[in-house]
Amino acid sequence: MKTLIKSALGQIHAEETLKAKTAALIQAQATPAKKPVAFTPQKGHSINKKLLAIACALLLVCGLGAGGALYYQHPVAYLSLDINPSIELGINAFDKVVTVASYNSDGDAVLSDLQLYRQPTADAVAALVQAAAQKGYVYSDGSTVISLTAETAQPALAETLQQNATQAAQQSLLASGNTAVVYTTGIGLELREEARALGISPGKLNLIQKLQQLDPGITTQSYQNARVTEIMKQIIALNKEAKTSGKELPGLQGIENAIAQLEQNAEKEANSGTTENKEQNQQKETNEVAGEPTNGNGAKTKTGSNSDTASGSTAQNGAGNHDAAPTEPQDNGAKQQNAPANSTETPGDTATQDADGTDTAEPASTGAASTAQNGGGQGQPDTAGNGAGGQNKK
Amino acid sequence: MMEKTPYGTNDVITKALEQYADMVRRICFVYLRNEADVQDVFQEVFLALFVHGPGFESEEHQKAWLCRVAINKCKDVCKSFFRRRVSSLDEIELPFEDPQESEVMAAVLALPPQYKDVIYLFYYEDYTVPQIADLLHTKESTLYSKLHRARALLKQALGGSYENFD
Repeated sequence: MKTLIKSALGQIHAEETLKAKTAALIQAQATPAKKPVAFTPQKGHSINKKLLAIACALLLVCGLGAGGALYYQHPVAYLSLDINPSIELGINAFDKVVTVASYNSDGDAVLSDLQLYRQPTADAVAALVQAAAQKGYVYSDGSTVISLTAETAQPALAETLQQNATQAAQQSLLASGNTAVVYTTGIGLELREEARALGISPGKLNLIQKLQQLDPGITTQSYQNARVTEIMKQIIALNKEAKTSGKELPGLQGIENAIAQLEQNAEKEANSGTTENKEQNQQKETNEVAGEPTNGNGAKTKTGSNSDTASGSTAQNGAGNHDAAPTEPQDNGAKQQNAPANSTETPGDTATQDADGTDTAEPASTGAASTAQNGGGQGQPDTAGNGAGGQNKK
Repeated sequence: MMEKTPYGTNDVITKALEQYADMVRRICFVYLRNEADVQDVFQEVFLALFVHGPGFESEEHQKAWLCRVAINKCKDVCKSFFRRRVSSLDEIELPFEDPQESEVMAAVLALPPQYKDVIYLFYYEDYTVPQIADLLHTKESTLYSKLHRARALLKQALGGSYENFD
């Protein structure tokens, strides 16, 4: 046994090439460094592999983290909100706001106290609408159009974005007791680039371009600081003229609806001005008008609003557009509910109340606030009934 | 042939390469199946010697030191992550002409790594158990039981055809 092992192992010799290689390697180690201390070959082989594996794993984790962070920071869509304040939100794939940009000084004013970064889109829109209302950019007589423009290359995303934003804006208006027409539409990213180059918000440029199609003489600058409401009114006015000459611009249904809502609001305002119920007539309902081009839902909501305009000469039509059907009574409910609260609590609402008073010259109403409310509730049996129904919901 | 460093190390290396290359190569042979691993360990052993420099008490001391370093490095490779999971493709073929030698060596190489050092040092290098204990920093009793188990495994593998295991 022993001899066998000995003779067998005795045949094993180190090859000359191996020896030469080793000698060369050691010489190479010896020449560059006088003190070969830095070289620690004792644990080299296995440790190096472990270190390599750990380093790779770390790199992978860091890479994934950085990639994730970049992906999170990258906006996939933009939402431009224009009243006169023009603000654009960049929205990432997780429906969170990652960039906020203001396109004019009014926009800066609205943004001044807001922290929108990383908020869900709907919350951000609601906060913006509320802030705009508080700062007096949403007129209390319902003569304001809030334009929400989704800017993305993905139609499906644009649709959901429009829906969410509209809903959020309306709820915010309801909650703060303001009236405005919410107009949504979608545009492509090319227009956004163009708008950025001009320093105008993409939503507004979209409207101005419509104006320019109707009247090529109009310059972008002349409407740069105009309120969305005015631009839209101008579009409709020009379009009426164009109609007579047969050059009517297609796809203006949404804007027409929005203006129709405005007129209704104004009518309502005028009516309520003649009655005693001034104080309640902060129009709590909002009017949705569907967006024009990109989305299929435009048609749906559009017809909804059309039917409303047809039937509703009286107040509460606009809210009927909203998918949630019971909003109509709810609006009245909110009206009553909010009115007493206004006088004591929310400053924003009080502001609108004042504006209301001064606007339509009803100084007596402030004094008669409570009675006027009661009058509203009792004097109009239908509103009262609706109010009771909807009040509980909100 | 090689440059002389301030330490005079290269003399030591040249001499050691002449003297112990075969021994180190044999230890590698007993442990490692893969030519690349053999080459790595072989070079690392002599590099370690180069780093250590002179300063051995005696020739015997140096030999024992080289034995231990070589065995430890081989064991390191054996238990390393990749070797444990990746079976090597280019296994060394046994170069023995005598069929008996081949049979015995195959049995030795098939032993678990923890028994190979004892077998090698005891059977080939003719170290006694106390010497091996000193060399490997192990208790003698451990070595006796290792030796016993290794022999039992060899017997089992060889089917009792070799009676003389001493």
